[in-house]
Amino acid sequence: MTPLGRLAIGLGLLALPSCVSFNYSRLSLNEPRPIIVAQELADKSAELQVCLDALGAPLEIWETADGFAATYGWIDQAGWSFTASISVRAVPVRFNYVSESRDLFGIVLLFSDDAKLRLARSGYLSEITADLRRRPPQPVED
Amino acid sequence: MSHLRLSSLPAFLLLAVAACTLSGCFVSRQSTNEPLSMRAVSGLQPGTTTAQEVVQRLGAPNDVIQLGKRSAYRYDHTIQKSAGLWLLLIGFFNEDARQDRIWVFFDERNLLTHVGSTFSSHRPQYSMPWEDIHERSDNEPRDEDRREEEGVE
Repeated sequence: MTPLGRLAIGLGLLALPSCVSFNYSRLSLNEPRPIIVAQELADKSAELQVCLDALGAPLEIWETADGFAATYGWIDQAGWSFTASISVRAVPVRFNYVSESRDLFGIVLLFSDDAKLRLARSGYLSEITADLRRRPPQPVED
Repeated sequence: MSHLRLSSLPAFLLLAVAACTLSGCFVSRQSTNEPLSMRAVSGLQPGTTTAQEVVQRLGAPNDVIQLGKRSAYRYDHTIQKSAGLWLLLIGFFNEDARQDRIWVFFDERNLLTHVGSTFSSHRPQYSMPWEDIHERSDNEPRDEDRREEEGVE
């Protein structure tokens, strides 16, 4: 192969990553909490402080219609992704494929107004909290 | 003295890959919000400590939630460590983010009723995506170091 040919191959290899790439990546966010412990606490209608001692500080807390909810969420996922981008007649075209989900998995605890745990759910937070996110009606004051 | 001969294609490719590898790795560390102290939390007494004392001790909260007539304050501090290695067409990346988080709950008189805390901002690691970074053997020495640093049992 001529020196010019080798140079062309070298430049081609260097330029290729700018339009095609394979990535293996891992995202780890927060630490998993024991789902079985949350379920046991719900079975015992545990008080808020008992839940906090067992599971630590929640990620989020918000008011519900008849009490409040606390969520614990985490991600620990690895997977492949593939990205290809080219320019067709000055219009950039990009294709991206990601094999793993980036949704937070976790637990939501539902507390009554007197801070007793009445229900624990586990799953992807976006799914298990969807019906709980409605803001409770504000009391009308005279 | 011998010289590397670049006349063969494999040698040239090896050199190109090595050059790309050297320029294709990184580590980064990102910190969000002020650090939280384990010692500050251990001094909070439900039934005695007021909201004002909590704010004096921990500073302004990151979030305040109204829960009927009661309220809850959230404090958090995040450390994220990222590492990556780029080998021509294939990249390996890892992001590890952990939080210190404190929730304090107050009654309608702004008296502390409940405290919940999680401390793990000292646990993130620079690693590759195939490594297990949640092993107990990784966390225990880091926990011990932090307790010693802060003078907490």
